[in-house]
Amino acid sequence: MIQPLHCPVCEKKLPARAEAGVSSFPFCSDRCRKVDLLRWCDGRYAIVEDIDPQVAQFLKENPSLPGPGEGNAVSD
Amino acid sequence: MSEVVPSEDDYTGDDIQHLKGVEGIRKRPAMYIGGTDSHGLHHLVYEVVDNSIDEAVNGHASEVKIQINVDESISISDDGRGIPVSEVQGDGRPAVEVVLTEIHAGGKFDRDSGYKTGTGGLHGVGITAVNAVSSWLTAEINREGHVWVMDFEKGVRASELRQLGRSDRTGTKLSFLPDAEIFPETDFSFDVLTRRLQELAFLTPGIRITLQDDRADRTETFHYEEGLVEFVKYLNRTQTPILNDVIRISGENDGVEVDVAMQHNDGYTDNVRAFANNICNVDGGTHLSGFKGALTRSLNTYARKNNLFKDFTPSAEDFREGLTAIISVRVPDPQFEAQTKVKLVNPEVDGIVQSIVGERLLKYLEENPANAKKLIAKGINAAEAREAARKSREMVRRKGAITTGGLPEKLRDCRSRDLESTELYLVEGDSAGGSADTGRDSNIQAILPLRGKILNVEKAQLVKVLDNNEISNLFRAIGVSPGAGGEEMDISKRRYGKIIVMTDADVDGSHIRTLLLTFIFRHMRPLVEGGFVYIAQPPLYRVLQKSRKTPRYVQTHETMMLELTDLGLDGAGLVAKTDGTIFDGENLQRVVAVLREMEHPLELMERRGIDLKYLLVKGGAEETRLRRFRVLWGDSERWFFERDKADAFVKKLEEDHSDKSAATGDDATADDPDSNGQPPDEVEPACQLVDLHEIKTLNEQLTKLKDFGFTFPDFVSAGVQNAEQVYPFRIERDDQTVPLTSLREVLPELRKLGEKGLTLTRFKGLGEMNSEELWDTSMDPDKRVLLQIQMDDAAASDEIFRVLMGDHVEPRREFIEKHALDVKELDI
Repeated sequence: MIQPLHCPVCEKKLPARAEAGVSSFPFCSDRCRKVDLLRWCDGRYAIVEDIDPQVAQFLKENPSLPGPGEGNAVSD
Repeated sequence: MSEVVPSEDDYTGDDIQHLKGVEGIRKRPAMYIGGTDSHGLHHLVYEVVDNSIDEAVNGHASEVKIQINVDESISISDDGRGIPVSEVQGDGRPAVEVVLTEIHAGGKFDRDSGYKTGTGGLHGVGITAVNAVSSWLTAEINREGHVWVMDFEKGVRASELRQLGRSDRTGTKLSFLPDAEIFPETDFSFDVLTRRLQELAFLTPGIRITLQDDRADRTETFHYEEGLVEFVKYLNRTQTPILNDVIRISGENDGVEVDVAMQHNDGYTDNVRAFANNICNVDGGTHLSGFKGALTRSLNTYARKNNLFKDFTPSAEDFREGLTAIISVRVPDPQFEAQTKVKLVNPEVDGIVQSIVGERLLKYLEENPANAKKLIAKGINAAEAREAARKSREMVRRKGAITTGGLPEKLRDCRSRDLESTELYLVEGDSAGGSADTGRDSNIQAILPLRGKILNVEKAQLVKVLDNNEISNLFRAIGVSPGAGGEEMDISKRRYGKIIVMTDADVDGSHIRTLLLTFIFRHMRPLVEGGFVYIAQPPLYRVLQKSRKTPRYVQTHETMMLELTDLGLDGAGLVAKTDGTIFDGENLQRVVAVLREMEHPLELMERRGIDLKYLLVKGGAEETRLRRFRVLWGDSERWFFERDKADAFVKKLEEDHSDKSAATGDDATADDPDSNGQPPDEVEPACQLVDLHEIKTLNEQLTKLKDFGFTFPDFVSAGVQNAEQVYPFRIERDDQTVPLTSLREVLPELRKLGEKGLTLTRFKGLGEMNSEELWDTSMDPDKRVLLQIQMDDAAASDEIFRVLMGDHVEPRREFIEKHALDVKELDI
C-alpha cells in the first residue's frame, strides 16, 4: 500500500492516517489545497514526454490521426 | 557590559534634575501605567525592573531578582549602583526621595551621568508612578558602605531616609504593595511575569534574571549569553526552520544601535517583535518599518539580480510569511507614542535601521546563495498561496468561474437522474468521445470528453495536461464545487452515481488516467472515499479467429504475447540439431518459461547497445554465467563477476593513473584532446564502472537452462559456415519446420505459429474501436469489468504522478518503462 506521506504542495509530512476526517487531506492545509487547485487550473501540472521531432511535425500536419487529436498544437 | 563607566561616586544627588512635582497620578493612573487592570498591575513590576535593566545595559548591574511575596507585595533587587542617597542640590531632600516622589526626576536625562546608551525608563515617571499607586513602598539601598532604608505610603514619604548597618555591596531593592483602592485585582501572575522577564533576559545578553514566587515556592532563572539569537530560536522552537542559521545583524549609526536576529520557519504567520531600549513596542514604529523595508528591498534586489522570480512576484508581506525576527534598537532619546510605549516614533531610526539591515542582509544573501534561494522560494510560495486564496474567494463569491455556466457544452448527459444507476464516463479525446457517445446507453450513461494531450511541435514534446477548461468541466459535469474554507465537499448533490475514467490502453492513456485520478483524489476525495470512482478497462487487442464469428478482446500486450506463445506451443517440438534432442510437451513448456523470463533482460541489454555476441567475445562470458560489472577506461574495458573485484580494479587504475600523471607532469595534459574525442578539460581517463543489473536475472535463468543442456552461446546467432547460414535449432509443429539461428528466436517464432489463423488488431486508441465494440468491451454494465478505485489506489496514482512530474528526465523515463507501461500496476 502506498500512502502519500507528504503534502503535494509544501512537502510537509502529513500525520499518519491523516485522511480520517481531515478535509484538507491529502494536503497539510486548506491553503495548500487552494495552491494546488490553482496549479491545476493554470495547467502547470503536466506529464511531458519528449518525442521524435519528425513525429511531432507529422502529427501537427495530420491532426486527425490518433495521437494528440484535435490539432491543438501549441508553441511557446 | 564591559564598558568603562563612571563609578558610583560620580552619580550623586546633583545628577537628579528636579523638574516638577507629582500630581494626579493616583487620580488618573491609566495615563501613567496604562490602566488599573491586570495589565497595569504587572506593568508596575516592569517599570521597576526596567530601571534595573538600564543599570545592567550600561554595565552597572548583572543580576536582577524579582520576588512575589506571600502578601502579594513585590520585591525587586539588583546589584547596580543603588539610587543615590545624597541630598539633591538646592532641594534639601535625598535623591532617592525625589526620584520616588517627583515626576520627571531621574538620572537618565543627562548622558554624561553614566547612561551612555539609550534607556527605557526615561520620562522619569516610572517608579514615581509605582510609588504613587502602592499602599506602601520601601526602598532599601546598598551604597556608600551602608544600607539605607526609606518608607513611603501612597507615594508620599512615610519616614526619613535611615542609615542602617554597614554594607560592602551596592544595589537597590524596592518592595511595594499595589494599592487595592486603585487596583480591583492585585494578584500577580507568575506566568505573565515570566513572559516579560524572559524577554528582557533575551534582550540583555549576559544578565541573570530570577523570578521567585514565595506563594508557591517556584523559581525561574533566565540567562542567555547569545541574546537575540537564542530569542529567535526559542520562538521557533516548535517550528521547522527554513534555514538552520539565525541571521544576525548588528550595527551602529549616529548613536543608534541596531540589533536584529531573524529566521524563517515553514509556518505561515510572522512573529516580528520590535524593541526600543528593551521596551516591547507592540505597535511597532520606525524601527519596525525600517526593518520591513530593508527585508523586502534586499530580497527583491537579490531575486531580480539572479532572475529568481518566474510565475509569482512576492509582496513585502509574502517575504515576512513564517518570519520570526527580533529588532532591537537603542536610541539615545527615544520618543514613544504614549507612556506605555507601544510605538517608537523617532523619525531618524527608520533610515538607520533600513540602511544597516539592508546592506548586511544583501551581503548575507550574496554569500549564501543556497539559503537565499530558499528564502526567496518561501516568498514565492506565499505569493502563490495569496493568489490561490484570492481566486478561491472569487470562486465562492461569484459562485465560481469554475463551477458556473451550467453544464459543459461537451457533456453528453444521460436522461436518468437516479444515482443508483447513472454513470459519467470521462473519456480522453473527441474521437473516443464520439464512439462512446454513439455506443452508450443514453438513459443512464453520460459522456464527458476531455482534452488531455497537447502537442508542442517546437519542443518536440507531448504534454499531458488538464487545463482550466477541463477542470471546470469536471466540476460542472459532476456537479460539485471545490471545498471552501476547509468545508468538506458536498457529494450528495453529485449528478451521477459512478464516475468512470476510460482512457486508452497505452502509455499515453495511462498517463491521462494518472492525471485524472490524481486530480480527483486531491480535489474530489469524498468521491473516492464513497467508492464512486471507477476505471474502465478497454482492450488493447481484438482477436478474430477464422472459425469463429465473434471476436475476443485482450487487455494488455503482455497477456496477448502470453496467449500467442501458448497457442504456438500446442503440438510443437524444439529440436537441437547437434545431438538431435527433442523438447516437447511439458519439457518444452519449462524451457519456454525460462526463455520468457530472459526475454526482457536481453532486450534491455541490447537497448544499452550491448550485443549478445559482444558479451560473449569481449565480455568474457562463461557458458552459464555472465559477467555483470563492466569497467571502461580509454578504449579499453574489462568485465567482472564480482563487485569488489571490479572496485579494486578501478582503484588500481586510478592509482596507476595518478602515479603516471605525477611522473609525466604537464605532458599528460599536452595530449591532443581531439585525438580520442575527449573534451579538452578532461585530463583524467574516463574510468567508468557499469553495473548491468539485468545480468543477475539472466544468470539465474541460465543456471536453470543448464539442466536442459542449453548454454549462453546458444542465444547468439550461429552465423555462417561455408557461405551458408547455420541453424542449430528448429521448431517442428504438425507438418511445419521452422529453422532457428539461435534460442532467441524460439519465442517470436512460436508466437508467429500461434498467430496463424487469427486476425489481430491492436487499437491505437479508443477512437479506433467502433461504438459497438466499445459498448461490448467497456461500457455494457452486464459484460464490462470495472475497477473500483480505493483510497490506496488513488494515493498510488498521486505518487506515480509526482514521479512523472519530476524534473529529472532520466528517472522519469526509467519509471515509465518500469511502471507506467505495466498497466496492471495502476489498476490494482
